[in-house]
This record gives sequence, structure tokens and C-alpha cells, in this order.
Amino acid sequence: MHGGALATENLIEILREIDEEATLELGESRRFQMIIVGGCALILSQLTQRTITRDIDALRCDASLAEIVARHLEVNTQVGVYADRLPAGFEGRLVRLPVESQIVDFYRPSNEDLAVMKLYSWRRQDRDDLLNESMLCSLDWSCLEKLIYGPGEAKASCGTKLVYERMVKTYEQDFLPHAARNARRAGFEQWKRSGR
Amino acid sequence: MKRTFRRWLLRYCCSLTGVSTTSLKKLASAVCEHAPHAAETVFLYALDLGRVDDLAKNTEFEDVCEGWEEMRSLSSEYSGRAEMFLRDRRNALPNRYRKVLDAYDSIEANAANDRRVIAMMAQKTREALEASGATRYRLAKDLGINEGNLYAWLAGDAAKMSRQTARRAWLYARSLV
Repeated sequence: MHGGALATENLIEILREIDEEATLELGESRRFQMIIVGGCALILSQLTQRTITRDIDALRCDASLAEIVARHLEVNTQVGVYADRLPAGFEGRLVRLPVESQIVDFYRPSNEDLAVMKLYSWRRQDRDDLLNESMLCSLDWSCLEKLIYGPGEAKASCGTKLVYERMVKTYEQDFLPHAARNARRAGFEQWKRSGR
Repeated sequence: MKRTFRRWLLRYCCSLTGVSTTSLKKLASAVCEHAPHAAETVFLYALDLGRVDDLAKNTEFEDVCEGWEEMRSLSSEYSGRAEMFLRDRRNALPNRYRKVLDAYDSIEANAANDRRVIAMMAQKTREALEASGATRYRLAKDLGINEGNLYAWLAGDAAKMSRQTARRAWLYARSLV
């Protein structure tokens, strides 16, 4: 029984239940993939100070899993809107989530891909997530800039030029100055190495 | 204690804001200060209490206020009946509000799903026992499960076993094959 705010242990439990139901219903002969985004991905990867989220945002899962996933109302599969906010090549950079499972592999986009998504949304929650120390510390800055400015990444996947340009502006005018301040305050070695 | 939407809503507000209180004022402040993700839940709690008007008085941040203001006009006929509002207007509401109802409904949906999974585990356990030649008695003894409950579960009574215990029995029986 969940029906409330989801902490790390609840998130892991739900994902393991999905894996368990898939094992029971679909057998063990093949493996399945599910891509998680949003608060759940950040919490399970310890990239945020948040300890709870309202749901699990599933960006994509194998068609055979869809029916099983749909039985878990905590899992939000209506996140197609995120698709054009992820840089085009994000699938080549997926990171496995630390969830023990039998036949379903749970993944999330890389830290830099998640950062780009957050730059698009840039609500208060996104700012908090992106500017928190563990996230800043984990970013590969040259990769992030490649995803933002490179021709085959965010620029290629974003459906609207105006939206893309707003994200770039957010990065340059809102995110970087705050990030620099936070990073210097925390004395991040990586930040110094990147020459910022 | 009977589960009611209001009681559940309050508990949900508290867990999302991290504030343990029944005070609408404190919950609204928490939304503005550190828990913007709880804005919808707190609004619905205020609606269920019939105190949506009080929210505006306690809110300093414009972005939160704007969202609440928009919902206030949509929900004006539903003062004191937040659950009905969510169910009647479900398709017209922003996803963030539908999620609150989904979280509430997930309690019963999960219980039904658990019963289905427990029954499926019983079938898989029976198949594994047959394949391995192990007895139900051995399964009960090795895992320290009540024999009567195990027999009843394997005979089709899903209520006799929790999902956790059913899982243990299924995985153990599978390892014997």
C-alpha cells in the first residue's frame, strides 16, 4: 500500500514490484528496459536534497511492460512532453538505476541530460534540484555545453526554436551565475578544473 | 479507523511539506517557502475544508497564488467536496491535480493488484513444487511459514498470505527446481 508521498524505499519497492510482476507474467527469457526521469531518477541517484516525490515518471518502457506499469497508479506514463526536452542522443548516455531486479533494467538519462531537461522547465523545484551541490558536483561541464550548443543534441530534439532559445538563455543568464556562486562557495575541484 | 479522503489528504499534505500540522496556514506557508510540489494537495485540502478563500490570505508568492486562483474559479461549486471535484472534473484538470486522485486511488488499486500477484505466485509455487518433487510440508518448515496458511494459499485462498511471504515461498520453491 502506498497512496502517499514516495520516499526512496517506496520508489525501490514499486520498481521491484513491477519487475516481479513482469517476471511472473512475461517469464525470464528476455530482459526489458524502463527509462525513469523526474524526481524519482534524482532521488534514487542521490542527486537532490529532496527525499520524497509524488510519483514515478516513466519516459519509456517496452510495450510488453505497459500493461503491468499501468496497474501502478504511482507511475506516471504521461510524460511524452519530456521527450523533446531531452537532447537527441540521450539514449546513448543512459545510466542504470541502483535497483536490484530480475528481468527489468531501470535506467535514467545522464546527469547532463537531466540538467538540460531542468533548464527547459526551470520551475522553483528545478532550480533547487539543479543548483544543489551534489548535482553541480557531478556535472561534466564540457558534455553539458555540448548538449546545449551542439548541433545534434538539444538543438535537434527541441520542436520549437523559441523554446530552445529560452532554455539557452536560462542556462547563460540564470543558471551559470548561480551555479558559479554555489560552486565557488563549496570549493568544487571540478569547477576549478573546468576553468570557470 | 475508516479511511476518508480528507484524512488521507491531510496526511499527504504533511508528508509532502514535511510539516506535521492540521493548520491550513502552516501548510500554505510551507508550500510558499520550501514545498511548491505540495501546492495542489494543499489547495485540495483547503477545498475539502471549504476554506479556499483563506489560502490567498496566507500566501506571499505570486506563482503559487496564480495557480490557486485559477483552480479556485474551477472548483467554486465544490466547496467541502474535493474528492467529487476531482472525479467530476478529472479530464479538465491539469495533470498535477489528477495525480493527487491517482495517489489516493492507488491504495485500493495496489491492494487489488497484490491479490492478483499473490494468486499468481501460488500457481508458480505449485508448478515449482511439482517440478522439484518437494512437498508443501518441507516448504512450510524450511521457511517457517504457518502450514495451514500455506496450504490454503496454494489451494487458492490469496487472503492467507502477504505478498512478501508469498514472494519468499515462490522464490524458495523456484530455487529447488
